[in-house]
Amino acid sequence: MENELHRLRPGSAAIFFLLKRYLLSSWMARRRRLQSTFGVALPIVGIAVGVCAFTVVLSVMGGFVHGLKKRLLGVEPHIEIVVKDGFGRVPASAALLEKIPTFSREIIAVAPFMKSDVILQSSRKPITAVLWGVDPDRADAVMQFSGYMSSAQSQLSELSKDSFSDSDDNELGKANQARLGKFPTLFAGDKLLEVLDAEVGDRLTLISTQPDEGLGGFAPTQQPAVVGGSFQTGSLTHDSKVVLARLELVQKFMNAEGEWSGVQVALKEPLDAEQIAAEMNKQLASEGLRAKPWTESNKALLKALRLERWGMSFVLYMIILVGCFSITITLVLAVRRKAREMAILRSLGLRRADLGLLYLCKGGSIGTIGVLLGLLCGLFLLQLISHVPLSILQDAYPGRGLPVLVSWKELLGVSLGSVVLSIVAAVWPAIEVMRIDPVETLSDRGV
Amino acid sequence: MWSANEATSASSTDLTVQAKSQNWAVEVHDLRKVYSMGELTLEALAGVSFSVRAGESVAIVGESGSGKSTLLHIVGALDSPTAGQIRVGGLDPFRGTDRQVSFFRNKHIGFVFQNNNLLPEFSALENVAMPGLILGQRFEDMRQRALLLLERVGLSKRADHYPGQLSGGEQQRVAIARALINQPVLLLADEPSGNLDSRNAANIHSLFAELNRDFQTTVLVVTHNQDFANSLPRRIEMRDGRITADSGT
Ligand SMILES: Nc1ncnc2c1ncn2[C@@H]1O[C@H](COP(=O)(O)OP(=O)(O)O)[C@@H](O)[C@H]1O
Ligand SMILES: [Mg+2]
Repeated sequence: MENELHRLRPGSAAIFFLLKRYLLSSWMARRRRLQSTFGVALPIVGIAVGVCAFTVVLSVMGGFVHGLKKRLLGVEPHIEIVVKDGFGRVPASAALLEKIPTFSREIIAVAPFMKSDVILQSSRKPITAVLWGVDPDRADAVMQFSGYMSSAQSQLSELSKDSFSDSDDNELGKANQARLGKFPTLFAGDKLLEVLDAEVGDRLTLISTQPDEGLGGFAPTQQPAVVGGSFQTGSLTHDSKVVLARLELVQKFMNAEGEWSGVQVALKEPLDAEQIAAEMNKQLASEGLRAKPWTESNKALLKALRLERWGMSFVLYMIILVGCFSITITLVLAVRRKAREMAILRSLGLRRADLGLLYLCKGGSIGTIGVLLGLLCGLFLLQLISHVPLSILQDAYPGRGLPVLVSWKELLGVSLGSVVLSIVAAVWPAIEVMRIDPVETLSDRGV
Repeated sequence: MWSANEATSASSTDLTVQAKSQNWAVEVHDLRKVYSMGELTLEALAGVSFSVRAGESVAIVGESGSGKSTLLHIVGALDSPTAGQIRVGGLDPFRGTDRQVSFFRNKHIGFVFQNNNLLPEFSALENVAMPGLILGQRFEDMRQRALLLLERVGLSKRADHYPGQLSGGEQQRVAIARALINQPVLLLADEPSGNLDSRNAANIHSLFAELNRDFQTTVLVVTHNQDFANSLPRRIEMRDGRITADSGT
């Protein structure tokens, strides 16, 4: 018959009632309870500051790293498919080109390539460079080289022409036609040309670094060519090292007809390269191939950036942790201050465990309020930062705010983590409140 | 019996327990409470036996330190005895987990202490309703009952006032209303008027008499006030942890 009374779990109504009042009383109490206002506000502010800083700092860092990655990426292919064990070559196969895009819907273009170290000889000096053989019809889709060409007329398709045939109405071409004759065209990075002391239109000689076993013993293969254009990608490694040539030319030059160094793959979202490469590898492994994401070649830098992000996260977590510590302190003080009230509640029949639960909930609520407040402030600040141009940043980001990249996943993790931490922070106060001896506390002995 | 399991499984014995509890609200046999502080041991209760009929009103008197509060705390299941038997409403308060003992206190016992009984963050009405909430009721469902009780103790106009806005006497009356909200078997009061001036004390004293009459609640009240003690039908006198006189037997 007594059980009919249990409409709610005994205690839970009371816990909720108490919790609501104890959290809000600081703002509503008739009697000014400065102490408890401070008590609740302090950890809330602490956690809010931590979460706010976390949101802002990591999002700004994210924006910066995102921009940096984009720059690093430059004309680098997002993923390269190469032979698994390193230096071998991939047999040229149209079937492979058709198969790769079926691996992931993120793949937007594929293009075969041939890469080789080469010595470039201008009329004045030699220099080592990287010779990239590309398929002019496909390569632009994966590398967007055309966008970086210094002369607007220069298109990758120029590469397929032996230099300056009659149909060529390129101004430069006409001027140099007579002098150059018919040589294959190269595009070279502007820095590379600078070092070579050569200009567009000059003749260069490609000299193989792998001696060819010819009739006359070991002699390096040589191939005269003409600089048909220059590019400036903004990435020093490319601009000072790379010469582009037609795929067939490079294959012939390297004595590797019917072979590719690999296949370059362009993705919708280059920053996903790592994941997608991992996925592709599951299917490529059986063919002795491997998908190599662009991040692999920038491992050290990216690792450093990631480390920096970890370090920063750690510092920011510490701020939140300090906020959580202040929950512990606040609640332990509250337990001491409210010992008599807690004992009264026990005398009214509130269970020991319910008292503990009350304090855990208190901690959790303080944490939740702090987190929400912090997120709100943080996102508001981000809005401001990303839209309002800062005068000190005019050089780097003219006319606009800082780029930001909010990682919602991370924010969610931090928010949940903070709430959990604040509950953990309430464990000690909860134990303290459960250890209150109501008889001892209520007896007026010694008062 | 008041553990959830037993209550359902032993419904046949309910009747006997009910019948018994109608006769005896409290039965105490050879109750002992020993405090040991290092080498020293102190017998706060040195074998106390008595019974209180349902509906009876009993004053407990005695010098300070004679064990009155200790007795009251044990009868109210707030403290446990070192030895001895105790039945309240036919039930053994100490058989069970904290959950069950708490439920017993919540449902069957109403406590009134000497002072600072109330929760300062809650209005008089909310204070009165609190044991109902702890029992698992919703506040909305308790409001009416709490208001009635506040009216009964003459404080209907102060329902929304906070303890800090009430006088000592008013606070005690709120505490008495709160002690009654779950219709307990037993109302235990430890010097409820001990901190009040004579006029407020007299108010409280007559309130106890009225409540005992109106609700037939069994009352055990510790008091130093001779007039109050004499006005109640039965007096138990204590000294050094023993009962030295009991007008009821
Ligand atoms: N927790 C305790 N530890 C040691 N002695 C105690 C404790 N509680 C009560 N006592 C002692 O037990 C005796 C009875 O106390 P109490 O029941 O409070 O007396 P009363 O209420 O009659 O004044 C007193 O001598 C008191 O000092
Ligand atoms: Mg006492």
